[in-house]
Amino acid sequence: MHNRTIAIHMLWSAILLSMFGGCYSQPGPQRPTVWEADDRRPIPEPQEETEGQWALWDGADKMIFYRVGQFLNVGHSFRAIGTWVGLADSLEAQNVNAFDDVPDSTWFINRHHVNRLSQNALARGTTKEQSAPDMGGPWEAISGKESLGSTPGFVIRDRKNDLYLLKFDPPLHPEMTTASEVISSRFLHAAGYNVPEHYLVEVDPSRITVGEQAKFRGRYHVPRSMTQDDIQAILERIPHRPDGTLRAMASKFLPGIPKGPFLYVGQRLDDPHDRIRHENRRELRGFRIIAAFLNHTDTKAANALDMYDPDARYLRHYLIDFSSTLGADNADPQLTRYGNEYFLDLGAIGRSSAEAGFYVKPWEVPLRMEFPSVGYFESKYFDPVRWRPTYPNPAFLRTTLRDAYWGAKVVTSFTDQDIDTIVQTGEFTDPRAERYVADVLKARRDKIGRHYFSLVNPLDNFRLTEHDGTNLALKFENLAVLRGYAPHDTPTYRYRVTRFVKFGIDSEVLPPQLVHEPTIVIPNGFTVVEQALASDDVILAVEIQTSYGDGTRWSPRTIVYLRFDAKTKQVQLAGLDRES
Amino acid sequence: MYGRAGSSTSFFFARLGTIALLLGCFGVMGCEIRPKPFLHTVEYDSISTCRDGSTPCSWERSEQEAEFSALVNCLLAGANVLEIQEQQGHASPPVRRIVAPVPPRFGYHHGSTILGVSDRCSENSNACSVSSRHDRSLTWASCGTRNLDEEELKGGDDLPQAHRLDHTDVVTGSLADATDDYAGPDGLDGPDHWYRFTITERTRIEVAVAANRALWSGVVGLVQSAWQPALSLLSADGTQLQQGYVFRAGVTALFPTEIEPGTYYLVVDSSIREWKRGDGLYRLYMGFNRHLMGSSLRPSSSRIRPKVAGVK
Repeated sequence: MHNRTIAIHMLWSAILLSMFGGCYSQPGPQRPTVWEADDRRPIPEPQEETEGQWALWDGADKMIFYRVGQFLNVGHSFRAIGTWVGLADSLEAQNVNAFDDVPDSTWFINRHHVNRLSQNALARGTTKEQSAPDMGGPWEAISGKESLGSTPGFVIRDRKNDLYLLKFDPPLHPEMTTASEVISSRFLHAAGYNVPEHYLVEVDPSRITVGEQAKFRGRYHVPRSMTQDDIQAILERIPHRPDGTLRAMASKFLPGIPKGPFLYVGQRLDDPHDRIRHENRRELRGFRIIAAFLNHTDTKAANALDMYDPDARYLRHYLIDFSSTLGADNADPQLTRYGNEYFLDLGAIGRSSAEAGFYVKPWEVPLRMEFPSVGYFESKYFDPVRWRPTYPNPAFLRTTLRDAYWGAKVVTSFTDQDIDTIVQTGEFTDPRAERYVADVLKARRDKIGRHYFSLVNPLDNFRLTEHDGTNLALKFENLAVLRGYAPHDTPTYRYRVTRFVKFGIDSEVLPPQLVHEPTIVIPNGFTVVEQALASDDVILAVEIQTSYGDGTRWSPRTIVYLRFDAKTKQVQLAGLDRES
Repeated sequence: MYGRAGSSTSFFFARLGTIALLLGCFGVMGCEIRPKPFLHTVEYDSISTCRDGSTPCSWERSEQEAEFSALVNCLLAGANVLEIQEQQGHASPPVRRIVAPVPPRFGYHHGSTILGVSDRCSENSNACSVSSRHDRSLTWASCGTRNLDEEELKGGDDLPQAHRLDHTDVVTGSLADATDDYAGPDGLDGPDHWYRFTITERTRIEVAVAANRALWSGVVGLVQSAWQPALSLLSADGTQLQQGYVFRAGVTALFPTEIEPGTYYLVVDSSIREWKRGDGLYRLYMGFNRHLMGSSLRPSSSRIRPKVAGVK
């Protein structure tokens, strides 16, 4: 009878493990040590993606059908339960390298958080002196819409034959939308994303002429020939300056052939380089944290764009349209609930219903908009975990703690001076508004850093050096200490060294030791280590934990892998993992 | 408790219905979301004063203060006087109207314990507050319009005839028949009006000018935003001390600032191009030691910008 009970328990355990478990997430040493993805080889010209262009369908799908589909997906639901009860790990990003970082690719290029950009480079972003709209000659309007992303605007061709999309500010909020576009594009570029060139321009309405073939889409989006009256009608509605000129944001058309938006879920089947499902890309999952920092609430597929380079013959993936960032929501200021709830938030509706309306959400407290040119942008109620875009983004829904840590690492790489510099590019006339935006961004950054650096052991930038001739020193930086989010500056580090095995029990090579500096000396002459490393297929794992107190509470582990390279006869870093 | 009541079950179905309606409308209209240029309500700090325990609250004066605060906030918020396009060309000349706050429907709430204000009063004094709700430090006001009394139009044609301002006020003027007398560094070629004020001690001033007329069509929505007046603060010798900036469409403001004793001039100016877009009517708010427009500008506001590829 007893044996039968054990057998039933074992059977259930096996079933549960097979349901919850799975080996999706490879440990560091088994991931490739690549810093640049091989996705720039020529490919046949892909078809234009059309699904993501239907913004309303995309919104309805992600708010309702995608969520319902996820709930009904048994595998997904069981994994979620398994993760919750601790039987399974979250599905980690699949395009990270051995060091849990993102290789450079046509999606993302590691910039400021890896190699600090100068203040001029931060302010410049993607813009170039020779690429700015020509202010000497006429601008020929070639197409326009009554509303472009809810903001009136049109496309012009300058004397250099370059095309620009002109966008303007709403009447009650001069500078709000244009400043948000320019500032956010600089931040996203510095973070590593591909973005268009955004310029702030002063428009003299008399400069704009109507091109012969110019088309206009008015109400109901029916195309017809554009007239001077169409331009006049758009310009009359937007805020003027006392001298009659207007402020606009000119977004230069991207180079190449547009191939429609990339979706935040699935793959593009006609791009051989697109081998990782988009919701499992680290730079798209981690984008959630950067979007939270910038209050980029409109991360729908239609605000992304794939461009095909006809010469090099590969796709490059861009983020576009940042008019719903910071305090702006296109032609209106952000609503206080945006960034806190989805447009249709079934969870919030359920919670509010269950609490019979007695629950007052923190952001429902009436708050004054400090500056019309900023819109609604705040840091007091901002919560990086609660933050969400206007409607669910599949990549954001998959963001794990490791993805979030990566995003936090990017966000916190912007110093106060960096933020001041980039905010200045918004060219707010009111210095108080400029200061306010910069202060809110700094506060949001700090909330992000403080939160995620407390959940993951934020040790980074590992390097191996020789120590005292024969020994090895594993040096690292504690980002929480370095960026001012640690309780104090002198933590204690506890480490131990084990032999890395994928399955089974690691054998301990060095017992736990304590150090107070971010340097771990590994005695090369120590017999066990020497013997362990002598074999070229052995990998050592250095597990490090951090304590800011008396050593009773320790952080999750950061595990650094070391491998002996038989060619160079040297020990090298082989990878990194973070316990979350 | 603060804030509105959260969503309840009844709202669930209302929300679903609204969303379905919205999606339906978007489907038909092709996502035609237009800018919403008109504010109907503004919010501002409730009017509060501290009093000694034995002194009665001066409710009448506080309510006048609240009304004035509502007017200034309506102007600063860009509340508009709508001229309906479909009514243009009617035989009878329309009565000119200007922005005015609508008094609270059920009057102001008188209170003496409003949150946050009582903390600012000393131990032996209480706070007297008028607000739209007793538990809020912010008051809402509806912005409407009233007929313009032509007698109330102010503004001097040139420096010698500058209209004198001696207390916090909102004055109305019209540049419709004014002339161009001020030749400032901005090179504005439209008509202007002059105002003069003299202060005997260091004073914080707030100034804004609002041209709130906008053209609206019941068919296509906003047709024309308000014309944009210019504003300059001049010293007694005519040197430009500060130039106004675009606060909203139609509203130009100076940064609140503290100035030394002396005589100063304010010029409400225009360019011909902008002046032609409107009817010339404007409201000028001049506040002495008031705090309706935010904090003063710090002296360290001069900014050194890194070189940015741009075109301005």
